[in-house]
Amino acid sequence: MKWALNTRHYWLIASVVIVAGVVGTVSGNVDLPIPFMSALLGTSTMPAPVIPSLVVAIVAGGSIQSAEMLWTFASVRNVVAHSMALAAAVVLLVFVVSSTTGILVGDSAVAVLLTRDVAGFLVLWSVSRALGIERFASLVPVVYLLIAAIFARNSLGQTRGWAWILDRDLGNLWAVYTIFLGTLLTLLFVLRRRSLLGGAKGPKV
Amino acid sequence: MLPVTRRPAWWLLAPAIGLVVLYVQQYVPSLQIIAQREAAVAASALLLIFSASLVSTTAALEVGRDRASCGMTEVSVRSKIEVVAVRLWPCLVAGTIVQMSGIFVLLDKAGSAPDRFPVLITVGLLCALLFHAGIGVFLGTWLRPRFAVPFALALSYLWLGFAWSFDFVPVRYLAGLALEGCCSPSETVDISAVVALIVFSLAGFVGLVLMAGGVDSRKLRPRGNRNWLRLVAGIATLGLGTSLGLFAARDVGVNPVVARPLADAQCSNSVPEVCLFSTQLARGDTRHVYADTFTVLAARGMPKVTQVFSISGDHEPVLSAQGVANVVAAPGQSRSAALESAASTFAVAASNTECGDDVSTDIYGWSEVLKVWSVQAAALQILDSEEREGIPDTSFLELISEPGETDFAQQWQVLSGFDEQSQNDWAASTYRQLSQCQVPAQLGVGPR
Repeated sequence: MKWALNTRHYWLIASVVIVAGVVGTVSGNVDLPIPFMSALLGTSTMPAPVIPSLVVAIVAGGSIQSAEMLWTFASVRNVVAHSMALAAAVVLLVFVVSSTTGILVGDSAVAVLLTRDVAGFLVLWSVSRALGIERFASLVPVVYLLIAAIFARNSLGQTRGWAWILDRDLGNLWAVYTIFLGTLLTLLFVLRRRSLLGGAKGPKV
Repeated sequence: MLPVTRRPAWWLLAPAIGLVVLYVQQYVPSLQIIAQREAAVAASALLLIFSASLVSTTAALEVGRDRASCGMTEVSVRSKIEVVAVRLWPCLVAGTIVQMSGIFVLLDKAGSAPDRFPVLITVGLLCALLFHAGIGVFLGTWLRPRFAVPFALALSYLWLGFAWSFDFVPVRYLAGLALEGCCSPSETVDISAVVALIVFSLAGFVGLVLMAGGVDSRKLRPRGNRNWLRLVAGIATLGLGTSLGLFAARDVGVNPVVARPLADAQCSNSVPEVCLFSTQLARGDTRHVYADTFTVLAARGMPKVTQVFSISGDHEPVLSAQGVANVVAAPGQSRSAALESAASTFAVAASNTECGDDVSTDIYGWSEVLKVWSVQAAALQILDSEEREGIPDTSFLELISEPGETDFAQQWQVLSGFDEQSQNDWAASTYRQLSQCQVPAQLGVGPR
């Protein structure tokens, strides 16, 4: 059991979360220009914390899935539930690290934004798994960011709602619905222990 | 040969081309590239986000497959270069197809053009794909596919996206995306920018492949002297490529362009002589409109213009003391657009006068009134009634007329009520005053 848990690379995940939490909070008010939308319609930007959030999602997602490969299919434990509990713990840790850093640097508002972004990316990762994209579930958050950074602007130069990751507004309903529905699907996946669209029981190895 | 389903580059090809077409149709306006092959191909630099992402992701997948399937004691009978080549060729071919598809769509949007197909820019953009293949090879070898593939895509995106906005301008040209700032009818590509991209991309590819050779023992750190040597050689090559690239692009400005030589322009036999580039003449010759406009305005009391050209560069005055006017001329512009471009020369020249901070901002409002008058005066004599629709456009005068300050829209109404000679006198004296940083007096109501 201990061996199986260690394969999740807790220390790697924790280190990445701490570094990303600090970097994301310190650079929280920086806006990075996006060339793909800016060139023709004026400057577009994305909040800098998006990048550390993405790194956390890739590392956490990859590490969690790598560990699942070492668990037997016959395990009486719900492996997926363990994995998703760890993902939730990652989100919590990001909030704690970011809030603490925020207190030290005198800017606590970024913690919520960073936590939303990490939660959003991890929800996309878990939903991808729930829908059967097992091997490259960590690729889905990156593809989402890419598509958002390329196609988010409409002809009036406004950012479309579905590209909430580029939006600092914490009240963006698209973000709220994405995280809420994603969590719901993830819970179904946890209870079912296999892809919601069919497929073999348990994660693919 | 592996089947199509086993080569991710092939089954990702169609979605990538679809996204390229969607992006071009949605975000690249025809006006920016019309009748200019060079501008069309340069605009395709933005499409590197699709082709380069495809190349880096699929390279990481392909190389990751080797990493995952290689046994502990297995020894490859083929050389490392051969293995990399076999793994990478579908990725690079697919990336090239995506980039070329984008170029063809853009060329179609640009329509027929007098300039030649810019081979060098195309080669530069395709070389950029090599660097992204290198990213995929290195990450695919170093990390497990579960990490390598998303990181390869993220790194490609970050490199393309954020190198573009570096304050240190030469860095922008190492990624290639900044080539998008090229070109216009009066500007051509600065070759140094493309050379920087090619040099960096080739050296970067070699460096990353060498580094991959050093970390292929499925450990985070290289094992053995030979692997360390490969890693160091790779880093050194990457560093050398970066230095050479930065050196090549050291003099390139924010936009990778140089002004076309005026000798390439085609001049008319009219008075004043009007010289435009072949691209500017590709959708209709409007040189006579420019000549007629300056002739009409000279007859109404404005300074005489002897030569008209359209070249870029901040150092070129809009109107020189010798009577040489530098106008804006776009391919496909209408007669009325050409007239507005020519007629606004005097107002723009006057508003460009450096007056310091002491002078009232009304000076800009008055230059707008002068501009409206010039356009109106020329349009009445040169354009027919249909072409004059919407001329003069006084909406800007209403926009800049703040309550409690000078009402420029009302001043224009007063001016347009004057007889022709009074208007001519007002225009000549206003131009002279604005050029000397003096604010003209407000106009009285009623005919003069």
